[in-house]
Amino acid sequence: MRRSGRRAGQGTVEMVVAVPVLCLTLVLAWQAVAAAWTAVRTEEAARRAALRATGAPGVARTVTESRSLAGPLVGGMHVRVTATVLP
Amino acid sequence: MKRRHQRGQAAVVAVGAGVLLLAVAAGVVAAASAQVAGVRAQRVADLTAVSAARALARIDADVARSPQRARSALTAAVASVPAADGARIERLTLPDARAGAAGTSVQVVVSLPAPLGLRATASARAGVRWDAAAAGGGSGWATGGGYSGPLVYRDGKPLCPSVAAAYDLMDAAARGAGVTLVVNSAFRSDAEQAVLFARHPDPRWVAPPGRSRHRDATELDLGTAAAYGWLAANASRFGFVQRYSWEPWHYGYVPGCAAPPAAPMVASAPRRAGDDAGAAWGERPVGATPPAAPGVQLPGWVPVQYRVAVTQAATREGLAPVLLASLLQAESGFDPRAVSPVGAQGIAQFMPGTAAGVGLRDPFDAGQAIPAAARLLGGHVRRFGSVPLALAAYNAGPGAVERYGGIPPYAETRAYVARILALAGGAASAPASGAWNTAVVLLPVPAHEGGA
Repeated sequence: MRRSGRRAGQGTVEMVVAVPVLCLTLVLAWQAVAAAWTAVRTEEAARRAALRATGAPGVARTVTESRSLAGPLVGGMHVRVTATVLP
Repeated sequence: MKRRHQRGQAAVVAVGAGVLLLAVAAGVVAAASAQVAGVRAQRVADLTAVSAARALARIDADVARSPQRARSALTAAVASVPAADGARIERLTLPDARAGAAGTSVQVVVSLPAPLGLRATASARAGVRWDAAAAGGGSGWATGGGYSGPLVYRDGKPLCPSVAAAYDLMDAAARGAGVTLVVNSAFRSDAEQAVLFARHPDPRWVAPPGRSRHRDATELDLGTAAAYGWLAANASRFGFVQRYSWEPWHYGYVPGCAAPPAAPMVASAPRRAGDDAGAAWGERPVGATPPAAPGVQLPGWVPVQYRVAVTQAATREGLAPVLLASLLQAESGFDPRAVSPVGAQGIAQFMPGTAAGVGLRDPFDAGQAIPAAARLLGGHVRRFGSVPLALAAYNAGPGAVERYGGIPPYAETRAYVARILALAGGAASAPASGAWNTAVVLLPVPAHEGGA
């Protein structure tokens, strides 16, 4: 009876340790995916903006695109892409 | 012992979770970096291709005649574009290049650094295109009748280009005889005919929908009444017949809309005033395809071997390619060996003095003559600010246009201008100088040529 009680206690300890670690893993993974997705979207937006900027030939222009990251750990952070369109 | 073993299991779980965390994070970051590098490479490739296509439109004519030299020149001209993003041009090709012409599009493959020491590559293609639909003017497209094809307008009425060209000849001859012609009606769709028939439901005067010859775009109702006599005596010279004895205004064009436009006159400037333009009818048959529909780059009657050169030379001068093609058609029928009775030479019918003035060494070399004709016409367009005046100057000389303050009252010059405007359709009536909607656009890259 004492041994099985110890085992049950050990399982509880492992759960107590593992659950927050798994949660943290999920949050960090979510944040990494969000950052990656935002970076790709920002790059694509910069590409579209750069192509639009080529409508004025003869003028060098710099286009900047910025996107906010979403999530509890990265709130307020931005991905910014700058593209230079040469004449 | 047992307690130590149990402590070790908890540590393994914690370390495993940490490693998993790091692995997932690293994987996501690596994949995202690769994806970002790919998108960035595509952006650089797009911008590089657009810049190269623009440079292609400005490139020196002599360089453009050699695709090899053109490639080198373009690579040097746009090298700074990928360099701004740390990228480099891996390959620059000219997919439309032919012997003696660099073509009108450029394809590039660029690469830039990617994660793990790799390089992301992307390809893009851009070309010079002319959008007739956006250029305005009086062109259209016939639907809902027996004729389906491009339309041009005379007195606000739609005609097929072949009929318009013949009518222009007839109109010029009528003017020379002091007779004014007016087009009161031309192509009518079945829907328009239905409206007309509903107003006047008498089959003797208005045909029911689907049975009117006007649906074929070959019929003209002409005025004024004062012209009826002249038309009865002369219309047949231009291919027109009076359809019904009781309708002296109704003339049909016998060759039809699929017939070639009126034959080109071989001679070029200087023209002789008072020429009977109608005498040119039927003299030299030319291509049988009507002019281009809006948005189509060049009409089908432009010979394949000259299409690239015409497009490139025209776009370089800010001209509509179809306008330059129509001029060459009217001048020589695209015959590079043509010689007129007055000594005009080659595909663009340059007089020796005019050729020397534009730096043309050999008027019989189409590779030289086409860009020279574009330069000369483009110069006239910029000088006079009007396509019809520029064409008149090309034909009769700029001095004559200035002297008369407009198109000189030479029957041949007027017929020449009218013929080219008819051949070019609405393209030639667009405003001059910068209003041609020439644009560099991204084009699809064939899958087997993609660099990524």
